[in-house]
Amino acid sequence: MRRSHTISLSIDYPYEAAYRFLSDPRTYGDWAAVDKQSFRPLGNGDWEGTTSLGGVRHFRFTPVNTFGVLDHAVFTPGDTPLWTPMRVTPNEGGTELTFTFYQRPGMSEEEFASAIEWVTMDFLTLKSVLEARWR
Amino acid sequence: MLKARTLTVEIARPPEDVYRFLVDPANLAGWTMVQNGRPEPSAGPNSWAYDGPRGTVLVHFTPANPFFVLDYRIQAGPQTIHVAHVRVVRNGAGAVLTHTSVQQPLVSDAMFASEEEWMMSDLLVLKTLLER
Repeated sequence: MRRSHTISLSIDYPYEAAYRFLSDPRTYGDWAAVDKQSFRPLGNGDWEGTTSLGGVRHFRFTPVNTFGVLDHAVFTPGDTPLWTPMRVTPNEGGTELTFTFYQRPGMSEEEFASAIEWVTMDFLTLKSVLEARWR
Repeated sequence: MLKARTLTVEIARPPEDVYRFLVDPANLAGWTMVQNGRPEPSAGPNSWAYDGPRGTVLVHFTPANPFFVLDYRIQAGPQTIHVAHVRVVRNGAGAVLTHTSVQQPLVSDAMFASEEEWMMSDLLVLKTLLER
């Protein structure tokens, strides 16, 4: 097993709308660490884009479902996709989000801690993007 | 919005095994305080009754699904006393269980904090049971 770290946050934005937004891959570039201009669908259902750290990656998303599951995989073309679990659930008029991040092979403790901070930033961005839509 | 708290526990067993154990309501008595589980079809197709420390409770489970989602709602009399979103995810050959409790309006902050401590303790019992 790899080391894992689960991020959870509350978003003051209705669950149905949050799920609709997040389950559309076209919105991924609005909050995730990928260059939005480069982010485009490939013919096979996957997407391709340049990450903020540089380098082209492929992205694969979970099909739309009724459980709020938003798992996605980010991988170098040709490699085995490493899925990161993500889910939204309702909380009254808002949304809870959980995201589990894994320590990747070759990633040092410092790099893992740093990556968690970067990912947390992504989700704070997402929170502000969604909460701004609401107002 | 209500306050929510997420607990996680890593379990050195394949997620399929963890899910298969947890999706069976009969197994709840093996690692929590409730006993004597029995289906309660009048309350819903996935509802069970249990004898708890403070009387009978009804637990409404999520139907079996391919995402290993195990959400549940606990009812005592007419009142919902606990709501949680639970999921088992893959971590290599093992699993990570995430458990997000949503504090219900009738539950005080002190009671919620206490429940979460009990829940973490239950989850560690579950981990021990499944890794044994």
